Amino acid sequence: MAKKPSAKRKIRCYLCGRGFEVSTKTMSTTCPGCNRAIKIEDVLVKSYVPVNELQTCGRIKITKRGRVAARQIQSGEGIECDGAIDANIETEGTMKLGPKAVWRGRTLQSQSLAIADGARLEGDIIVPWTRAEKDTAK
Amino acid sequence: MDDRTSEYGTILGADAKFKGDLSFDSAAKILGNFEGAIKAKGKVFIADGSTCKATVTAKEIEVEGHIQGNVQATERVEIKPSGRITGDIIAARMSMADGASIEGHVQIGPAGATGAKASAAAEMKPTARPQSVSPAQAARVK
Repeated sequence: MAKKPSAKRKIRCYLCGRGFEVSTKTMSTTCPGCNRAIKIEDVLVKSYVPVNELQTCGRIKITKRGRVAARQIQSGEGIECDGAIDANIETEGTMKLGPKAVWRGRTLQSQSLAIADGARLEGDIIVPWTRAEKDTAK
Repeated sequence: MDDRTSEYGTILGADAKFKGDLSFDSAAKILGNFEGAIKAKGKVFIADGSTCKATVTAKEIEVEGHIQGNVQATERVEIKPSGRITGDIIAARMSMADGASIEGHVQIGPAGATGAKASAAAEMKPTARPQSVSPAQAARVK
């Protein structure tokens, strides 16, 4: 019996901006543009997460008890925050800040931004924003 | 006049172009082009299609059009899907619809509110600076 072709999902590398297709089940892969390992799975933050960089081609969700302290957060499909973020943000999706969300950083760059009444923000915002594809051809 | 229009004491028409400073005690609605500064104790509504190259200071600011300049609200800023702000925003609360655009520094929260209130108070009541008065001038005043 013929194997069913798996569903594909279009993603863009957060490191070089190269767009390509992967299976919906893929959690991480190597970018054909920059040959570096990239994360594709969605990230759920439920507690305090101190990291240098939080990067994924998928979605990032920060719950009300979640807190991310990072240098940079990069997400391909958007960020939903009900907790606190202390980082620079780059997302090609929608950045959603809930009524109790707190964001503090140098820059927030996103395709679109939805802020609920009551959210607290401090930093430079550039909306709408799209990632430019880096020239990786050698 | 519809209900929405009637709540505004001052309305700048869609075909109007204004250059200068405006201050209101109640609510104001900007439908046309404005250049300068707006100070209001109430609400300021920047309608869809209007352009404001101005510093806007008010209690509440609702944006459907385009503001090029700094925005300061003691209470809240609301940006509708068609709204666009190019400049810094200081407010106690802000709500922004998906599709709206911002380019500038944003300070939202209690710190923004106190900052906005302090600066609004400073603008409304300029602090009396001690001036050196010569004895001759003092005698003239008396």
